[in-house]
Amino acid sequence: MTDMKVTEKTSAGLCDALFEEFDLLRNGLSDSHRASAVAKLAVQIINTKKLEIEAAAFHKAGMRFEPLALTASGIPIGR
Amino acid sequence: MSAEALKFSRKIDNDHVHGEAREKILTLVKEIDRVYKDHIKQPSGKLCHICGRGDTNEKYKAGTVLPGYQHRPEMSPILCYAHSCGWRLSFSRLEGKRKAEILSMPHRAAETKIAIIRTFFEDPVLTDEETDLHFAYYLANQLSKAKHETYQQPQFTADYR
Repeated sequence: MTDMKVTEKTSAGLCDALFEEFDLLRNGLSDSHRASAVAKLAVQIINTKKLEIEAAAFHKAGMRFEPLALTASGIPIGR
Repeated sequence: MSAEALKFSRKIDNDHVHGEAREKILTLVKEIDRVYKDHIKQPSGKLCHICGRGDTNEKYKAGTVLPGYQHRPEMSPILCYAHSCGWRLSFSRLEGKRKAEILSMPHRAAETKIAIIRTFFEDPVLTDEETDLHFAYYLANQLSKAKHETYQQPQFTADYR
């Protein structure tokens, strides 16, 4: 069984993973489509993390969050 | 450091310092200048982690410590001059925005810039985690722009000495 590559799940680990993608691109082992897909995925991860950091800052300031309850019928839009 | 050098140069540019003492000081200054120039002429030998290019010339080298990493230089990624300029711009924008938020003032307004200089000057306001995350965002942007044709094998620049 080949060793599976695991990214360290930190911001610095994400940077390392992106640098690896640059290396693959330079060595012809990746292409611009794959690079674009990896970039989009990274942006999604970053946005989630940014939201977590913002929420943590609000929490630290004393703000409490109410959990959002989603029902089977969904939330009406446009009213 | 440059302020110290200026203070020193003013100190030795004094009529009271003359004769043998002046000669000795100037010899040492010349020696420091020679060591500095020899160091500057040396190629860094580093390659940009994004594009694989080396030094642009003896003034613009790859691998200078990036903004946001000054307090942990060993963690600073290696970038060429062009990419480090891009990062500097992106980082300073985020930092300016954060400082304006802390001051509760509108971002980009002239009075905000003056207030930022008066309040923070160069004090860091972003955490290491935020810096790393923003750097990852900068890398993702660079990656989305990447074209295989423009990304050649790593190449050192010619020895410019």
